[in-house]
Amino acid sequence: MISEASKIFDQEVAANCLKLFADYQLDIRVRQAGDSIAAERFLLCGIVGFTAKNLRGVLVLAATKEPLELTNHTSTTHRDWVCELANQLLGRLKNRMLLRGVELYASTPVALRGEHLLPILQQNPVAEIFTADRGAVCVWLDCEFDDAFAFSETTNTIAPVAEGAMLLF
Amino acid sequence: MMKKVLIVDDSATVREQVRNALGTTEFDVFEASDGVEGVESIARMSDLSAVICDVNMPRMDGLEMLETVMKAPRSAPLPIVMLTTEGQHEMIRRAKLAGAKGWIVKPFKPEMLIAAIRKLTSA
Repeated sequence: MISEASKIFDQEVAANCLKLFADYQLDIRVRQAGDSIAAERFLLCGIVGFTAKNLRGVLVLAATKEPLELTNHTSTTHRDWVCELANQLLGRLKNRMLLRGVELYASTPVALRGEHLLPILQQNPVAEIFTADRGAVCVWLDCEFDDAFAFSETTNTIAPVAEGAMLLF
Repeated sequence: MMKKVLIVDDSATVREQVRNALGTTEFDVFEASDGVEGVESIARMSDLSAVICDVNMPRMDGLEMLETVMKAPRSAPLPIVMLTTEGQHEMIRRAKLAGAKGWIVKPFKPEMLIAAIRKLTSA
């Protein structure tokens, strides 16, 4: 059950990472088997911690310089932008998980700078690496599920308001 | 005269995105980086025309800021629009009950934001 839940979380993060970058007009694609990531220099990570009932975790979004430059048309720092991207990705995950009866509570995002930042690829957590025409993006979740963790049996929650939508009252 | 709009968000990038979207038109954009600064700015600026406010912020979140601001006496109504990653209906209901005039889920389209702020600030 836990490994199934973990897989669902990973899939949602990967799918929503693609959508997030698409919304900022950058096409990224899942890394092909032959692509090497050894040469990728992940510059910064945006990190957001979260909790839910019987679950604690961290979402990490790492990127090389190019995807950050191509999606941020302001004069602010890459640090601030990678935090906001991680925050928006967690927001999407939160909205998807609500439909499965899991409410996530997120912390304020922080950035970590380093050289050759990489997750452990051969074991959990599962990382998904995307490449763009220039540069790469990597996302991964590091979650701790308690044995009692479960998705809701009755997923009758109304779908959350979609990303990019506006309501005026 | 240019209408004054306050953006309250802990992300400098989002604040600048909003400034870029609105600042080139008929609005003069001011910034605050969390709910506490937002409350202080609103108290200080009696001639504000609208506020755009994030929800998840350090020190004081956007919903708490909204509720605080709406309880304070003000000579003219102040439209507040929430700009956030959150899409939960329960949260939106809480904002609406507190007096928010709109809810936008990030990422926002500049033309949509301009249209909303124009509508809310037109006398």
